[in-house]
Amino acid sequence: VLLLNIKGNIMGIANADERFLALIAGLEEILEATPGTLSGSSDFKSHPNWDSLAALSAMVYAEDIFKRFIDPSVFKASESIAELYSAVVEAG
Amino acid sequence: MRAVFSNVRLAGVVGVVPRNVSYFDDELANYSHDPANSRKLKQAMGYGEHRIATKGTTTSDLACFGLVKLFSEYGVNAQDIDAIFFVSQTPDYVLPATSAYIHGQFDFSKETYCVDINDGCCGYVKGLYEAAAFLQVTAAKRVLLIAGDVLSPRVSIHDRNSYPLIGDAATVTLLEKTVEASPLDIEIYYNGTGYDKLIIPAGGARSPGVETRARLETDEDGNKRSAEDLRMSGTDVFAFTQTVVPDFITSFLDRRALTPEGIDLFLLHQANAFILERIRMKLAVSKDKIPDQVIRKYGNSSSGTIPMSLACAHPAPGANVMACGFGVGLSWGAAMFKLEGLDFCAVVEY
Repeated sequence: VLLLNIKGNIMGIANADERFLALIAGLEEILEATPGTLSGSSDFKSHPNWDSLAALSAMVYAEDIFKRFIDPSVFKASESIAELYSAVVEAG
Repeated sequence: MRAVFSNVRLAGVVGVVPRNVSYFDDELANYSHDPANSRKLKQAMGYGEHRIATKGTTTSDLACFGLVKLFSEYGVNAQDIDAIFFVSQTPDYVLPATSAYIHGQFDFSKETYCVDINDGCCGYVKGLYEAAAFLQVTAAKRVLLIAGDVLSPRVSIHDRNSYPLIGDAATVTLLEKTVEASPLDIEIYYNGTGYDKLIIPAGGARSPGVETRARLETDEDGNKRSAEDLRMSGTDVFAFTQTVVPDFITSFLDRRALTPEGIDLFLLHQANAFILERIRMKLAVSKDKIPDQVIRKYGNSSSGTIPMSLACAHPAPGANVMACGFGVGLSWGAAMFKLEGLDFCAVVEY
């Protein structure tokens, strides 16, 4: 199941750079995008595969990366992956 | 709200589901979404099949069917029932109370107290509280807690967000006053600022105008529903279940110097299998401690899923049980008790 299997990608993440890259990689997997096609500036919510299931998957994936639950409003307010990452980091 | 009741025993439970089974794969054409994407949702959320009542069937119809079983097969006498607590969001009428209607269908005493409680996912815990409090402060000896919903008529078949998860059911729980019962320990909480996260906007006094409320509208995710249909803010409700609920369960146990290992069976409200699995991971308990067969086999019947889960699990006498409901309100709560053994325990088809 997509929602659970992507958990394997976050094993061993230790620092901020790795978390950022893992967030991009995780969103690529959730959105079924070709690896390497998304970057920090990508507007992930405009991707054709972004829907309620993708949103739930992203929330779960982000929780596993950052070890805390990210409020849906943070996803709604973010225009890019970099914005999402910054908002999560700033929220502490 | 926290309360501990003594001398109250869960004596038996009957779950009643409609005979009609509806399959997710057969409903795919109702949704505007890519079927392949919908099948992912099915797999993740545990949406295989659910029970949908035939047109015109109400929650009280299912409940009365359960009561017939109670009175005809399980040796319970209607005249011995001191109160009927009916927990549901789908009453038969705006008025009178559905508990009064049910009272009129059987040979209950005129002294039998009847009350309706408008509540959903946490409603069973709330009903346990109300019923136990009634038993504690009156001379009553036996009360019925009826919980469940026939919500399918109020959910758009074109709403992939909500329709796949709902399932119609009613349950009947018999509670008795007895000196031998172990404590029934309950906590219930509310956050009314989230009242609109799960809502049917039309039908009450604050309804939209009659000329607009039945009109189907499409949301940003492609779901079609009217103001007369259930509207669920999926990501917000999911966030609620992943933040408030696990912390609440852990702190409930902490306050009693317990850990999840000390609970034999968690009867969680079965919203969907994914929510249950994520909560299970956070509590770090084995899969057998948090059953999910109700959502997989019957669907989410709001206040009915916890007693349905109890009826399906049929735990052994002496089991330490935590029943935990969460959802509409927003509200959440838990009831912890040691099961003394059930006189009857069954799921039957209507």
